[in-house]
Amino acid sequence: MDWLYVTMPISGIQVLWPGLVILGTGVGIIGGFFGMGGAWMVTPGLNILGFPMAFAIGTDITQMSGPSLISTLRHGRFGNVDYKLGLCMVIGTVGGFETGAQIIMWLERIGKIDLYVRAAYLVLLTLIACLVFTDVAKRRKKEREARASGRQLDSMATGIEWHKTLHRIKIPPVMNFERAGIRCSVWLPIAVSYITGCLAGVLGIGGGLIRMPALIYLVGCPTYIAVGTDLFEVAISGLYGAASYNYKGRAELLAAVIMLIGASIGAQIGSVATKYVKGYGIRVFFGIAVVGCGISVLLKVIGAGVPGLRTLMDRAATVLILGLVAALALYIFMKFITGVREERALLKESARAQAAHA
Amino acid sequence: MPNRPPKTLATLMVVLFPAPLLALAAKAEAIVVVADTRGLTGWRAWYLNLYNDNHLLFALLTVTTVPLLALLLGRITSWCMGRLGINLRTRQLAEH
Repeated sequence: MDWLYVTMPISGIQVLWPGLVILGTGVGIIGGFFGMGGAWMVTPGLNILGFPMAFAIGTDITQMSGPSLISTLRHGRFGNVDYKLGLCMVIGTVGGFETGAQIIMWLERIGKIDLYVRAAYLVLLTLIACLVFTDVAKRRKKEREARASGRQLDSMATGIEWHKTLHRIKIPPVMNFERAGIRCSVWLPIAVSYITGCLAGVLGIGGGLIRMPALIYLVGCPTYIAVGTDLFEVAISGLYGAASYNYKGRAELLAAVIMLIGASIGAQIGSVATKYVKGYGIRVFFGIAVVGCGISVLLKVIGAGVPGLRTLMDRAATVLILGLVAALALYIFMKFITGVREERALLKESARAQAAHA
Repeated sequence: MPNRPPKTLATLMVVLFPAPLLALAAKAEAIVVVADTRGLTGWRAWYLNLYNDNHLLFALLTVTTVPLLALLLGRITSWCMGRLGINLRTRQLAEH
């Protein structure tokens, strides 16, 4: 079975290449569907496949821009990407990353950096999960009230409406983001991306997990525009990360290329699947992904606090993350298959009706 | 008892030559990974020599290879997706 293994040229480790393709497909599907790079899922996966941690992180960041680019192009064709908004946010994200790096250096000086970072990550994930599920509950309540009063709820209605308050702050210049359908001060997306970039820099993550809900709840983007625009940003910032890690010599291009083969298929499936799932459906699954990610961080915190449980907790966290990735990817794939079948049946039916009419 | 001489020596070294020792410690932290090119020929040897000699060019190679390959693979998979006979231009479900 030697043909199933490939030797990584730099680190010299032997890796099961079908594992890389499967991991790439999974991250492509989930990334294309939720609009994120997925560093939180790939790093533990690569680590399990045998990569040392430094190479797992570097290789993960190296491959990230590839599937994000493919998903951005697909979402772009659907009209899901607001490039103007994305470029405004890149400015804030880069500035935020740099501030985050400075905060990390300050935390290193005072010590206990791991504890602070993990605690902040955990608090943030809990807040995001609460936000998403509160929003979903509020929107459902609005739906029930509308049904009780015999009317139909506007399809663009939302549960949490913080963005409406923020849009009232008209500090010039005020810009129209046509694709996202919002008009606000340009400082709003820049400030939001600066804060999310700063948090991502401190936590050492790509940032999609924070930026996606920020785009929805603070900037006011519809869910599918938030997904597409965030992917556009990930594609750009991922290249910066890839350059940085490769310059430090801690990445395996060969593994990234093998993963890209699976990711290119997964990214198409994940992006097209957003066609068949309503915006609030995407939010619910995003919330589940955040909860899973939060539990895995909690397990690692417990492991760090109780040395005797460390190995067990680390393993449990990895199994949880990979199980979650597999379950979500499978669910999105099933949605894709069902959606394609239904759409093809509808198209066939309308073609038949047109032929009969002619 | 057998540990005493080295410990004493280390303590003396730290007191007498703190700067060189601290510099050594910093260097030990920044581990340099060198790829093994022995017995390799062709593109593999070129690629690994590039990694060993110049990380900047190696990083440039990566940031050009990944997006270019992504564009190529994206085109191929997009073409395959187009064969499914679904509308890949618009999204009908409108919801925030």
